[in-house]
Amino acid sequence: MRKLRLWAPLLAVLLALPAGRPLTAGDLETESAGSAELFDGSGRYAGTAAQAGASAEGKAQLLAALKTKVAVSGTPEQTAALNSLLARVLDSPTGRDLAVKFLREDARASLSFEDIPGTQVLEINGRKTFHTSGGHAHTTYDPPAVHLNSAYLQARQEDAPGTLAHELFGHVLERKRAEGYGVQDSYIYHQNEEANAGLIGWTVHAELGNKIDNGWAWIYMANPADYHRRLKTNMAYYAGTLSTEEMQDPLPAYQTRLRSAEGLLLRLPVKKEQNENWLKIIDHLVAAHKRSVEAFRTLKEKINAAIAGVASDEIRLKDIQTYLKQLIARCAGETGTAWQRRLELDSENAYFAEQRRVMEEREKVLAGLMLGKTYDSELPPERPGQVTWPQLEEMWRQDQDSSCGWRV
Amino acid sequence: MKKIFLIPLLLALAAAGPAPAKDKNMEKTAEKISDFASFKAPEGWTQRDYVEQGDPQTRLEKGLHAITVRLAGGPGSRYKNASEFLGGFEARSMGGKPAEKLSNAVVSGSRALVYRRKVPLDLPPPDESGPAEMGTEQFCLVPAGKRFFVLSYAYGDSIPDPAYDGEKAWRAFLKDFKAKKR
Repeated sequence: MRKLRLWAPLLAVLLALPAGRPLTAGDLETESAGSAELFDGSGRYAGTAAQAGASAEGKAQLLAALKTKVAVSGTPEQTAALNSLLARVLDSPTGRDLAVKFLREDARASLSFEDIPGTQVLEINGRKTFHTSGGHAHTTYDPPAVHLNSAYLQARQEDAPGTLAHELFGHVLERKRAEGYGVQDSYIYHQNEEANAGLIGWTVHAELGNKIDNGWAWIYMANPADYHRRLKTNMAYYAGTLSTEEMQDPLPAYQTRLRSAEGLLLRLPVKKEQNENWLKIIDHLVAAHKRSVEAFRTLKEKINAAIAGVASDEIRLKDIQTYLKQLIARCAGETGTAWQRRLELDSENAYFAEQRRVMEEREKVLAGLMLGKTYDSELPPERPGQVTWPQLEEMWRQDQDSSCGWRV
Repeated sequence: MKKIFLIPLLLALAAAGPAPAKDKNMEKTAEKISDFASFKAPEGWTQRDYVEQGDPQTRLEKGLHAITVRLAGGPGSRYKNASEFLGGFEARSMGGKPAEKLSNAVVSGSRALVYRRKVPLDLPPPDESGPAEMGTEQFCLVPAGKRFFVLSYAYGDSIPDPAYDGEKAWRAFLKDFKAKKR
């Protein structure tokens, strides 16, 4: 019950429609039940995204049709929340467009909440949040399954529609499209599989009036090549994804990335030492120059967090190394040659050209939305009286130039 | 983010399609930065030429310090001119605010504004929402006939390098950089 109360204010916001009247999930059910012109009750939807966006009734028809293809499950509280999320996605033009495509492709999915391990709901600056995965899609299940993090019932509700669109349309629908083109076994190795889903989620999120505070979106829009490069050192799966050109000859790409991961691993001890040196410098400034130890509290926290992060970076990079070695091994022998040949042939499939074309259109839409709602990315003010990085760097410069003589 | 990606290898027939799709950012050019500019890499830095987003580029690196020389505005470039670049995402901080004007410099005989923008460095996996560690990038634009250079410097960590002053190397690099007359 407590969680239901938390969702109540959201429902009112989520279901606000162009007509200007907040619509409840119950209203939508009534509307959809009373109109059969565009939807015949069996999932066959003859309407368009434009029709769905023109009126509350149009949206209700589309929602009703979508719900024949997306099986929602969970407790009554969870299914109510998930149905509201589906409705909210359809408030976005991109969401409506992709819902129509989902129906036309005869795609299907199950949708539920899942307790994602490690999730903690935190309260930061008075707002509840969580930092683990928002959800995932099991696209090879029959039907494909979308699981959203159950923490959305308590926190970050405004992010949930974008995540749902990312998983349902970016991954499940895309799998169906790939099957249609006969590339279901290779599309998952293309780097645009995630980028396209990312674009869908960010666009829906922005169309629903939210600012884009996901760093990946800003990196992608600035420089897609940089996005792909950085993603490849972020998680093992991405390290195995390829551009269309790389699909034509994947082995050298994997070998280059393995060397790159090795290089990054070699940098970690240097990074750790640099951070430890800053701690020594602070200790020196406090001990020898009577600086206030309290003034360095925030910087010391950041430095200690960075030192702690080196261990997780090492695990991540070793995972990437292991996965790349597996992929390199997979390229060997007759079966490996056949796999590479398959990727090469599939790289010429119209699926990838069409996906790229659609992504370019989506990028234009998203660019307008992001630049139409800019914000200052300045972090909240830190504790008063704390030394900043530029100040510490200047203190260190002055110390080196002085007759103090102390060195790290 | 999809975590479930184990796919069995199936030898299905390839669907016929048009010519291979070229990723836009993989457009090639035979041009090299050294044909358009002269500069010296700071001592101890490595140098690498490549093409990205249709522009020939040179990247100088020392650890996590990086200086990039990019010749934009050519046939395969994302940007027709410097104004387009300054209006785009690559000249803005995360959040979309235009880069701040940091200082003036004389580069290749011309006065140039040096801008600074905030960029995300370490990021959580894309499906997670943890805060990004932010860093800064400095850049300036230098005319090159109908095209333009984008010169930039960034340090790839939110914790500064206590052992090396990358900004000093960057300022020296700007003094040394010369666009070739063509």
